[in-house]
Amino acid sequence: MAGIAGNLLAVRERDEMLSGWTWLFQRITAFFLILVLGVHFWILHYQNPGEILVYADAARRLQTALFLTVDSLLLAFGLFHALNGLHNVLEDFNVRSRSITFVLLLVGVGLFIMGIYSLWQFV
Amino acid sequence: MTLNVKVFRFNPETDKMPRFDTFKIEEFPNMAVLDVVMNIQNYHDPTLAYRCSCRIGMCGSCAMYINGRPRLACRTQVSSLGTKDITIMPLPNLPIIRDLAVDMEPFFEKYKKIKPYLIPKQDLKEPVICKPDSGERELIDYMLECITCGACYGACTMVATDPHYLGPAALTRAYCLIADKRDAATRERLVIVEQSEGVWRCHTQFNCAEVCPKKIVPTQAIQQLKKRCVFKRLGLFRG
Ligand code: SF4
Ligand code: FES
Repeated sequence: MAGIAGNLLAVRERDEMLSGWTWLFQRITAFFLILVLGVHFWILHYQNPGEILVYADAARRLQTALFLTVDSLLLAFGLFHALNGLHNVLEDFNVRSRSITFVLLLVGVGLFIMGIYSLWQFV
Repeated sequence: MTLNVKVFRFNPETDKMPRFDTFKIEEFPNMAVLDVVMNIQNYHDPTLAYRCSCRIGMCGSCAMYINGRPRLACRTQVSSLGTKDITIMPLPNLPIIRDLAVDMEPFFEKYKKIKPYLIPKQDLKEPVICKPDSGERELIDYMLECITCGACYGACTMVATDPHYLGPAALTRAYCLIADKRDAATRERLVIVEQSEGVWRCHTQFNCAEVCPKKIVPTQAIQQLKKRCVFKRLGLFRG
């Protein structure tokens, strides 16, 4: 068995450990995004159809724990979904390198910090 | 009835650019596209290169790109095309040897990567029988019909963009072995298909299933493999 396994494992190994996990999280985040974006749209546009959207209302909403949590999760999941999608497209075109993964990770973390910082201003 | 046949011509050793030659061919009842190609070679241009063998849809050697779609030339009736204008080109995504003959090596290189043969468990007592109604065969029964024609490989846009992607046929074969309870190398095969050039490149476009002359749905095999890869990651895979 060791012989077979050795042979088979000799196939190119790179950042392969991540592939299965990212595929799974891409699906989980997609499901979450559909769900939360639906709720988000409903609250903003359909809960009080007569209401005119004003900055003060948005600011007040962002002071509640529920909105802060949902928006933070939307930010994290949206960023993961978009950047992992971009990573996938690059891989589809056979563009693969650790530095690309690292740059996308940096962009994701940077944008997440910016987003959280902006949300924090309303607390 | 006269058929207007446009045939792709290219000899990489002598030609700078490919070209199309046009032939007028008399249609006869039950004529297959392979008959058209043979007719051209026999009566119009003996230098036309193509590949065929069994002429009954078993060997998989006559796959060509016929009117914008990979098909077996021997199993494609001219009447089924619904037109008298026929364009015949070599299978996409493979290097051209000459005219309609492509080099199948990249296809079989990938096939080889997944070790396309059963590695039997040592403790099995011969003869090993998987009863048809036991459920042990899952979907693999009909997927074993693959004749390695490469039509799915030629239709796959992911193979077109990433030449390292294992492709539908190799992954379907891998699934047949991974789902086979008698195979001893299940996990090792999963390690190969879960590489980034394996199952994750498939975007479930079903192009492969659309063109498979054996009505196999490689996408289904690939989805089954993805499921097993995730189960393996979660420590839930029993194989
Ligand atoms: S899966 Fe179908 S199209 Fe692909 S190689 Fe096998 S028989 Fe040909
Ligand atoms: S010649 Fe064998 S499949 Fe067509």
